[in-house]
Amino acid sequence: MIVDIGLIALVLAFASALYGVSAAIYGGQNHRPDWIASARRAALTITPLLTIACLTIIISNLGNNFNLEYTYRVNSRGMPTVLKFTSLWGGQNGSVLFFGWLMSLYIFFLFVREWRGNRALQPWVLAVSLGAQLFFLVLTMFFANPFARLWLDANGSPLAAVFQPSGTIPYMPPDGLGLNPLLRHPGMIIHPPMLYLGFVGLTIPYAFAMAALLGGSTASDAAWIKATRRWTLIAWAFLSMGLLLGGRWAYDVLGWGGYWGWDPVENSALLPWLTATAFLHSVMIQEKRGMFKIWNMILIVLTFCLMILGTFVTRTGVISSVHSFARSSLGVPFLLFTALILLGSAALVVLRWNYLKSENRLESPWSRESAFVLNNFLFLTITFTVFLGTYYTMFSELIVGQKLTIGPAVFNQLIGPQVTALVLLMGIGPLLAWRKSSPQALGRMTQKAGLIAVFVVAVLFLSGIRAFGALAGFGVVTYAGLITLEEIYHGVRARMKLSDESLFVALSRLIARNRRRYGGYVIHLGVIFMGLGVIGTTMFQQETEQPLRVGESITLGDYTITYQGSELYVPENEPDKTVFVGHVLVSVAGGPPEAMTPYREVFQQGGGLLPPALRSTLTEDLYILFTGEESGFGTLKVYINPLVNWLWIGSIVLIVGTLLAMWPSGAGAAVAVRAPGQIIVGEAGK
Amino acid sequence: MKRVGLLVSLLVGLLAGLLVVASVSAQTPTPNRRPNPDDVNRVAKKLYCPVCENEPLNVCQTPACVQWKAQIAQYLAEGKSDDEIVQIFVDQFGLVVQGEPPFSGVTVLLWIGPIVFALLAGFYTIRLIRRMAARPARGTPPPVEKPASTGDRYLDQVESDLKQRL
Repeated sequence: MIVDIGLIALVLAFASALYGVSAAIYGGQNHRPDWIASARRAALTITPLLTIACLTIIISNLGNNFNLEYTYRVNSRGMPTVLKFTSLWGGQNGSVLFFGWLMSLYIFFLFVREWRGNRALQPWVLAVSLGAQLFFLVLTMFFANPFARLWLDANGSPLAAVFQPSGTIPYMPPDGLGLNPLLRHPGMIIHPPMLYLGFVGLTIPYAFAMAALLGGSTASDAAWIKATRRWTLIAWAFLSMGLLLGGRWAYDVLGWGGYWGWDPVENSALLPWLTATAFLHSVMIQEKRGMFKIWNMILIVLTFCLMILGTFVTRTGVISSVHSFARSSLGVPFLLFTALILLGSAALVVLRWNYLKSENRLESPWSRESAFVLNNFLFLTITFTVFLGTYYTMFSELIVGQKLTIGPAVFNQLIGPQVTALVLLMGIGPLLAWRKSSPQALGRMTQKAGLIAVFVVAVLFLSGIRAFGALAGFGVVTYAGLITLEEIYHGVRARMKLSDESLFVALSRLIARNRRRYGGYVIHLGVIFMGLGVIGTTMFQQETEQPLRVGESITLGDYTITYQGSELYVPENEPDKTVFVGHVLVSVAGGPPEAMTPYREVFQQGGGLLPPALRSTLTEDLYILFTGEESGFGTLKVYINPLVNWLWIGSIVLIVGTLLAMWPSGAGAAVAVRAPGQIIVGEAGK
Repeated sequence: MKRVGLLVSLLVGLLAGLLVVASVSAQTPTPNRRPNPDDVNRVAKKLYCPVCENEPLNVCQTPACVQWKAQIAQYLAEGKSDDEIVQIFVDQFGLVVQGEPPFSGVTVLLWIGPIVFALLAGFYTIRLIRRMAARPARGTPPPVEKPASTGDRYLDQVESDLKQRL
């Protein structure tokens, strides 16, 4: 049977990983290239094997093979084909396998080409990355096996086991339970793979960092830090996309008018993103000046630990209740693995302390180096705050038996000022030169932006905005945004003066010539735009909810929304779902009415979705929800989300900037230097 | 006598009627002052249902939450303040239903933790920057970094432009 093939493939992948780790360690310790090459070949077999394992699950899902416990849990006969396909990652056991498969893809792409990096690093990168892979394969095989099948015991009650327990007969339920309704939205199909790609991608930088400690010599310094930076950037890009898609998905289907709820699951994905962002900044000090090596190492370790912790939290639900830890089969192995990584990495950093010492010193508090130090300080306090807010209830439940809910109000108060300071630094940091600069120079360069920002704040104040947070936020965003734009403009002007290029040509060549710097600026601009959206929605959101008879209206802001009645239907391809559609007419400032149809989906299994009808402009979104009709009253809930579109625009800008920064250097765009024993370095102008 | 009997029965009837009206109005205090859903949501926003994890009451659609909202509406109609209503739910279900736990023995670390961390890390950061900057680099001063010789006229121009501005 096809499922048996999958199980065999999984076992072989496990064996490959186990062998690979051992061979890599042996080869590394005894300087045996043949063993290292063998470990590499073992690593390369894992992806094909896990691909087979995943395919057999997909085939089982497509073929309604409900004898497989996993297919029974996440599939049903009525489900559309595309969902049967994506339900590979729609349930716990499948997603752990999928997670391992994605990790194997990274390892595959890292090792498929001849190793061009430092020779001394290779066995240890192999050993550490395969070690992480092995952990997820252990989870898949022994704690969350998607190949378990259903059996009926002598009493006729079903049970799940990989191999047939004695005295049982195979059991094939007539239909499956079906995919969790929340996961049927297209956003939920793309969002988890993106997030997972971000998560597993962090394994590679961690492997490089550990390799530098395990087998490192000073010669390998430049090699590991460059490779680590590049792979972190790739993982960071996926993680950012995963987070942003998750936010958009929440905005589009959950029906609470927002996109980020400071939910433990969201936070646990944000935490490694925060430390990875800190690393991507401070790594530049190490590359340029050979400083902060220990610190960068700590950031990499922290990022990887937070990733494992985040996976642990989402897979076991430990925060919502400490008791779910015991219920989940994954709890203990995850805890052990996290402890192993933390202690192991900490021990290595301490052992190699001398090797990690700085080559240079800070020379002036007014320097790019100091700006990066401050950047790391802010990222770390934000990380600590989010960590505390997320895990506080776990500690309070464990220690004093008191469960708590830490809602957005707490996070906004604690995080708001820190993020404002970070955005301010984001504006002025890039202006500071390496080594030495002066406050006077900084003042000269930022005075225009400062004046305009003060003017903007004054106008906002006169127009009636009194909230200090909003004024400070808009002021800082304006200031930092203008400085960033000015920086790009100076580069463009220099090019235009020099080579008579048009604005557009100058801009695109400027970026192409130094993608790392200008990609960074584009990312910063994305953050500025997102900041506008965040301030608008958190400080100025309006909402109202009213039960209305047909023909009655509610007014919010400039909008008049008239209820026109409702209807309900059951979609043919999803018979377990009922859709309630509300019909409304929206008129803006007394203008001609437009028809809009918010709806609510209710699922037989319970739960449902509440997608809004959106009227989206650059200034604000009108967000209408229809929660249902009862005794002649249709209930409408209406939000006005000011500037929220800038959040999505900023997201796209951020992703574009990331792509610019990480796109492999093409010919002509970079001066590629291939030093012996080093990976390719030296994009132009770095 | 007839008149007296009529008077008595009228009085009794009136009294009974008053009693009925009084008891009805006691049960449904003010049917006309049905609280606005927006007021209910204002209170509900501060509460979390312990059944559906991490979902504020104002957006939760489960029957339990709908019932809670009806309860809030009733408390509002009785003239209770927002804080009083939140307190009623906290007394009944514990601190877990409150989205913004107040400053207390249990939450003290939550509120001052980030501030203490920021102060400590900030102190360390400033000390690091000042101490490292104050001490002159040992030995020969590090060679001035040459602008990466890119062989690119424009980039050199950009670099020198940037230098001038500093």
